[in-house]
Amino acid sequence: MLAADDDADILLLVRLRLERLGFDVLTAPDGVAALELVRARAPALAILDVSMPFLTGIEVTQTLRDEGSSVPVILLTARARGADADVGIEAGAIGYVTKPFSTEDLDHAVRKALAVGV
Amino acid sequence: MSEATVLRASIAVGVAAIVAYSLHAGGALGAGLSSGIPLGAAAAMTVGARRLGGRRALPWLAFAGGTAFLAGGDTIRNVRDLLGWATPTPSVADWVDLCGYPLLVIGFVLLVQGLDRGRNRAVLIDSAIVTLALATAVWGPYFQNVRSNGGSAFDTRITLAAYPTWGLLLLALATRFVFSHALRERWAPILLAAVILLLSADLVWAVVPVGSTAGGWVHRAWLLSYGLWGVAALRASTAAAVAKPVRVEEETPGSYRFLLLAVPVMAMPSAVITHLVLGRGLTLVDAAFGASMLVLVLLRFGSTVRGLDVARTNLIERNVALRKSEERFRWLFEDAAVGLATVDGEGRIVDVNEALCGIARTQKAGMVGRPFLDFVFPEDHGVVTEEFVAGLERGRIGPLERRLRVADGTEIWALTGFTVLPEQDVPMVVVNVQDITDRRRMEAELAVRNRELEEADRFKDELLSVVSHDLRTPLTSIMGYLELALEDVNATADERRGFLLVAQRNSERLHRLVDDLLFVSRAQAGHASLDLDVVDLGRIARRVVEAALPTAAAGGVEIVCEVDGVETVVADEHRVLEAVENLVSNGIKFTPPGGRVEVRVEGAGDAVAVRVGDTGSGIDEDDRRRLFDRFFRSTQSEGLPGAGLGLAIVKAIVDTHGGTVTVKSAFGEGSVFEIRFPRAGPGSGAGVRDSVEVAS
Repeated sequence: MLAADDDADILLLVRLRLERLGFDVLTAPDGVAALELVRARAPALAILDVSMPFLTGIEVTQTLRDEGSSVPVILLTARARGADADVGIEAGAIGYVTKPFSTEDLDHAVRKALAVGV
Repeated sequence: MSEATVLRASIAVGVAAIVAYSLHAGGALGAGLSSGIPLGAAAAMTVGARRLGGRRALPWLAFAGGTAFLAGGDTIRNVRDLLGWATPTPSVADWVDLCGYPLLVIGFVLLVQGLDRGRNRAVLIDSAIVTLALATAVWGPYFQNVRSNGGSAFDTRITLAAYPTWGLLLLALATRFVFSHALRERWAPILLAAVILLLSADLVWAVVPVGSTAGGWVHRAWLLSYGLWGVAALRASTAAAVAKPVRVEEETPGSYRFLLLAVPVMAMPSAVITHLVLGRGLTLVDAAFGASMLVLVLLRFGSTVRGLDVARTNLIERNVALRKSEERFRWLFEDAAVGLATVDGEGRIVDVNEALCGIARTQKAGMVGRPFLDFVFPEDHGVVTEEFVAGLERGRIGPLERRLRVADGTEIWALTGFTVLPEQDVPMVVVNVQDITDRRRMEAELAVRNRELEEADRFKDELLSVVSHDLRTPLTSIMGYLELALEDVNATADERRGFLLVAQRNSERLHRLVDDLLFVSRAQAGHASLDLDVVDLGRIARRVVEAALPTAAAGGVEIVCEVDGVETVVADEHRVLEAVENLVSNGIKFTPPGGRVEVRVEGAGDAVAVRVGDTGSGIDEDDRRRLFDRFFRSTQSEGLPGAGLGLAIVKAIVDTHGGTVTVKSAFGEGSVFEIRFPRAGPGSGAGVRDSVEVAS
């Protein structure tokens, strides 16, 4: 499982949450690193922040889909309006979580994504 | 042979015949010629009539018939003469002759009808007056002759009276013919000459004793008359067409017409004198002719006076109406709120009203006589001239918005139009002008205001979006870590403390964001407060770089700081630090691993510059222009945390210190941000709020 966010605190938070749920978690501080990790390690799920330097979460998702990767993607967005989510789903994300989120929000999104698959 | 040749040949033949007759009047040759000439003339009239064709042929056919009958009468007399028989009165010759006259009369009636359709009382009366005058002066002796044969039988007297009666009718119609403006035709004088000759010859024939030498000349006159008649017919047929019938108005008397009427009036006394001299008494017929003529002259005079009166009244009324109309025009012209000028066909100003003087900022004297183009903006001369010419043709042009240059050289905007005044002797154009400079300025101001409002609206949207984004990030950590600290039962005390510290740090971040937002907002409104002190920018730069070292290292970015000694400015240390921090943090954020961020501080005259250069992706020109808008995010930094508010804060801080901020960048080649603070502090330097110098 991969988590990517340029905000270190949030990245750690997501990682702790996922570890509590029993997953192994890889982390990336930006879009480029996230893309490389997905390619190299093929995680079961990628949780990507939308706002990251060099490559946004949406761009990473788009690139993965273009490359034929089927890894499920959940986007984290700090935008109040649903625009990011819509663009993200269109790019190939399976779900999204709006910041700030509770444990339940994240758990729910992860379980749903894993259950549905791609 | 051409028509002219035929005509000339015919005339030559006729003249030759008449000359031959003159030389040899007696005998069979003379008799033959005196029959042949009128018959030849009748033939010429028939030819002329055939060539004219249609209704126009009819008078000439009647003339031809009449002439033929007269030729018939003469022939009978000549034959009887040759046979040595006397010709009594009346005889067959008279019956044949008297058949000819009505045809001549009918011919004239048809001719006059064709020429002059406008029945006109004045023309009729004038014709009657002249006829009666001639009759009074000339026909008296004629009828006298008839009476002197009083001893003759009744049928002789009737026959003798018939000639002058038909002659009088012919005279009346010939006069009417003259009054119908027919003499403009080339053939008409010839015809008139023929008629006069015929009537004169008849007269002389009636008064001279039978067998006198004058009798031969009368015959020649008759033959010449027939010849002329034929020539007139041929001329008429070669004329292109009869001129358009003149529409004769109720004749107003001119000097020519007065003369025409004065001469007949003189006929009455002259006739009386003639009678007295010849020792004849005045007859009832003379008196009747004279009286009728006088009545007609009086009638004509009365109608003339009435006509004059009507004309005078009309003239006065027209003058009054014209003056009123002129006054109305003048009143409208002078008092119009719209600027008005009358301009002649050459484009020269003839008159201007008060309103136009006001618009042109000059006096009437400064405009009248000058070309109106003098007041048109020079660049528009060509197009305005074209419009003016088109306006003259079409009658009106406009309204059009045009630039004018008024007397003091000021440029104004005007709504202008041309209207050509109808029924003027020379082209006269009314130009209307409305000053719309204020309206256009207000429109422009309104457009600017509108753009500002749209900008404000966009700003509001950006604010919502940025605030939402930038506040949510720290809030996520605060909520998340507090939840962990509270709910994670397996966590150790140290771990819990760690969670709480993260929450606390993000709370501070949140606080700072709210503070920044407030600062930007206040700076925008012009009342941000600064805590001023002497600040060493070099020290601040070093502090910022040291603090950023771990972040840079984590991102694989090298960061260096170059400071030339101590560079102090009067500033709010906390705010200046924040500005440099924001630039450095952005630099690191936008520089990929392996890149480099340089921070340089150096004196620049009465200011100190801090430059932050990076080897990042660079910024394209459009984005550079809008870079420091409070909440603008460049297309490359889509969603970058803090990037939106960050640069807006830098700008707000620099502005409040009276400094400047510039950026040099090329897309793909990194960027250099430079902020300058005046050494002496806010309010001292040439710093201008809202002026972002953008250089490539």
